[in-house]
Amino acid sequence: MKKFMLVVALTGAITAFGQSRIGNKPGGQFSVGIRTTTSLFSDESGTGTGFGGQVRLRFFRLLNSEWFADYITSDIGNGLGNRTDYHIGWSVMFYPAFAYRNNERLKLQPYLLAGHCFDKTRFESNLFTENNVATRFSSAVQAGIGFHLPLHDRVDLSCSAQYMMHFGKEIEPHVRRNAAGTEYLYFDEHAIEGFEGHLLVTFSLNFRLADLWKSKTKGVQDKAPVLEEGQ
Amino acid sequence: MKKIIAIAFLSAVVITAKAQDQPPADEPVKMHSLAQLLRLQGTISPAWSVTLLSGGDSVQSVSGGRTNVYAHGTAEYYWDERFSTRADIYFLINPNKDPGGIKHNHGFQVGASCHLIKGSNIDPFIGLRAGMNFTQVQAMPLTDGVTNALSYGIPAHVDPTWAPVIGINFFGERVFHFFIEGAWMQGTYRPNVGPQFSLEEFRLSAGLGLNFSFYKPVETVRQKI
Repeated sequence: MKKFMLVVALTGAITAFGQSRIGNKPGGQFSVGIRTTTSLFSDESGTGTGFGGQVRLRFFRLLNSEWFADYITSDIGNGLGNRTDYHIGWSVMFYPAFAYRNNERLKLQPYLLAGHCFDKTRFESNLFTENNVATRFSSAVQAGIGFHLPLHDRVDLSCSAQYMMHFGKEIEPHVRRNAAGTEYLYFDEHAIEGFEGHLLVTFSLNFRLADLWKSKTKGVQDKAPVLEEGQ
Repeated sequence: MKKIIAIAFLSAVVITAKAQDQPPADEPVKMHSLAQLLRLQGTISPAWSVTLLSGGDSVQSVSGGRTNVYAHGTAEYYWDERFSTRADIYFLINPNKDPGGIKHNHGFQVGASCHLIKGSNIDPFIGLRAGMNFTQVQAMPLTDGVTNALSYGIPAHVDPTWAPVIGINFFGERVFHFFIEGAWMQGTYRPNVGPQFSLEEFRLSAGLGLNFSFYKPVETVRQKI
């Protein structure tokens, strides 16, 4: 019975999404997306690659919000160790007024973004006899720029570059050698808290699922309603 | 009364016009567009290391010196003639049993493709995908110069991947199509203990796929492009 109720609830939810009309006002748009992130210029590790997801809720025409989670892995010390970052956070996106012209959005819609993030970072040495591990939790602020490229009425590709500044316990990797001269990583955990940052370049693909506060005018998102000839 | 007759007449005209839009029941629906098409395929994909092509890498490759073989499945939806989104899964079916050989290398990727020709049953495309891999290598000997482990179990790890993709589909009669595509996988297996391995390899997929049209009226056809 519970399974049946679950199926009914899911079917209802899917039907509701399917029937949602995309209005011509962007406020209330709800999107989900997947993203791939490259981490650059980190003080303590090399270039990292990541994968994650996000949801977006657009409050007004010029104000959007993004709620994301990322999983990023990177190298430390040319193969001596790894760094793994788990990010969960949000950003607010501001569209400049020129993102719209004659009440229609530009093909390439630029935006500024700024937000906040919570992070877990794990540093690990790979050598099996010196498998040192250091973990820290930190909070971060980020800011950057980006753009949307609409691929379809309901789908857009977005690209952003943002600098993320972590505030938390400082962990400093050092290369050491054992008795035989084999290199491994040792992590120096400082008691003091400090800043550490990296540049994140993100590409994301977003699917607009619904218009949560429906506008009365039915039509295609961000476009004037299609008029028949003679109207 | 005149109003009623006028409404009845108009309704009859509209209904007749609508009915004429529909193809006769015994004829297949003819589509001239890839829009709203769902494409499914499952195949066996060989993969080779391309480290040499990319100028060398100090990190070992999961497919170095051998051909990995994957079961590969794809679901792709064409939003319009130019643009589609897709999801792919890969499952390694020929693990290497040598020490340090690839044991697991399974993953999924999601991405988008841009289709270069409109209104043709030949459908070349380029795309980009991103996803995650679950990878593990067989137990292998490790040494730190002092201690030797004859067979050390390297843990599995989940790592992000991405891949540019290029390919071509040929849509034939009704529900079938042929496809050939290549994906250049990028990523690094970074286990908690042991050496890192490059996940870079070129995966070639080809075969016969199924396609279903969601274009109304619902029929599973693709022809007369």
